[in-house]
Amino acid sequence: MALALLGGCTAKPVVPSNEFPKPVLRKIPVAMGLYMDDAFVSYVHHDQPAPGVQQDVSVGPASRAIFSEFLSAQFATLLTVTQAPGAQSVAPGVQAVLQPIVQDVQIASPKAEKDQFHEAWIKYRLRLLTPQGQEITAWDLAAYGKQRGAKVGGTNSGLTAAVREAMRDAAAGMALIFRDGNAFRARLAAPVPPPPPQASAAAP
Amino acid sequence: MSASRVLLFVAAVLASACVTSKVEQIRQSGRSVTMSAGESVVILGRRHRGDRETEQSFNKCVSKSLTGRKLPVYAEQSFVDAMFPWLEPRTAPMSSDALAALLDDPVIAQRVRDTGVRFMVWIDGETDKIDGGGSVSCGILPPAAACLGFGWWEKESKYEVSVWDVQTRSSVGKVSVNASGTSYLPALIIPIPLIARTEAAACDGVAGQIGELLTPPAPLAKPKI
Repeated sequence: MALALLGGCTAKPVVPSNEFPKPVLRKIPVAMGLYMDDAFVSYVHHDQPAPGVQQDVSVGPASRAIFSEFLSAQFATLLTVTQAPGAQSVAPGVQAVLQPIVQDVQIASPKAEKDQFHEAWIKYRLRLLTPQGQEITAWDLAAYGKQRGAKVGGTNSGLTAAVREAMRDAAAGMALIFRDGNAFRARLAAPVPPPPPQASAAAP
Repeated sequence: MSASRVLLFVAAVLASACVTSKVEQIRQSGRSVTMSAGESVVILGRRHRGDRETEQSFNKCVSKSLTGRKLPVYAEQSFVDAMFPWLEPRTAPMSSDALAALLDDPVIAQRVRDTGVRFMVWIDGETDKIDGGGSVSCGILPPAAACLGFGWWEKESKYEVSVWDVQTRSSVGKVSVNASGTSYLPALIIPIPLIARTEAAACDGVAGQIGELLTPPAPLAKPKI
């Protein structure tokens, strides 16, 4: 009985579709690796507002789809790397490796008559690594989506669409990052800055 | 009840409240642009502002009205998907100069040509309730029900429209429309809504002005037998 009552406090999970349009991009002639760890591909956001029902948002599978489709359209060659690149597991046949990470997710739905939109924010970080795993640079992608939807008590279709819009916005952000293909290639060719020195515990 | 009273009742129900509408047009050239066969227009809603967004219903109304004026209209979502990700809120060009810069990319320019879209019509604006008051109360005491009261609300529809020619990468013209009106809901036993259709008036104004800027392609001549 108690479980049944608790079950009533969880909304139907938001699961955005994995289908995205084919991007219109000029390919950059680079063999790029793509590494997506388990935390990324299975990311689920558990939203529990103080007064309100718990809302789960499946972010990982659709994020995997949008990053894979976008980057395969952006680079001449895109190889999926199954192991984290490092000194012991150098990514073979690629000039660099991209690793997307989900850092934070926030959602909001209309709560009053004047509120019109379901909203979603997804903060991604896109790391650019050498095949040996050293970070060359990283970009923060603050993706945002909104969708007009039913007021309080409506279905979660508006929220699902907002999450999907946020993922499309992430693709738009990547398009701007890689728009100047020559500058990106020059960055890859430049020497990698040394990592910052580790703080010593035995410092005087 | 006599027939005249029934007619009076129906007329009262179907009546609409008044809407005041102001439409302005700026043309870049003195005459309208004639479209060629195979070319089409796409109606696009601006979505870059966080707190507001042009209603899909307004874009659909303008599209339907232009189709009625024989202008070939390309579906908005199909065009946004075909151009993905260059018409997302973050990347969509905000001026005809930005459009020209976007079309400098040969891959993007080719995709636009593939769709057959010649004119991009950007709509920015929204319909808002700006004031309201009164109250209507209804009660049910089986087998009867009745309402009593008076309610009103004022709405304003403000839209700005830019028409760009993809072929010449320039602006064809701009249209702005501002329609406002007050709706009333008197209720004496039954409520009788008198709705001011500001969004529909703005839609008619916008579509009429676009129809003056763009001339539909001439119909193909029938072959002589």
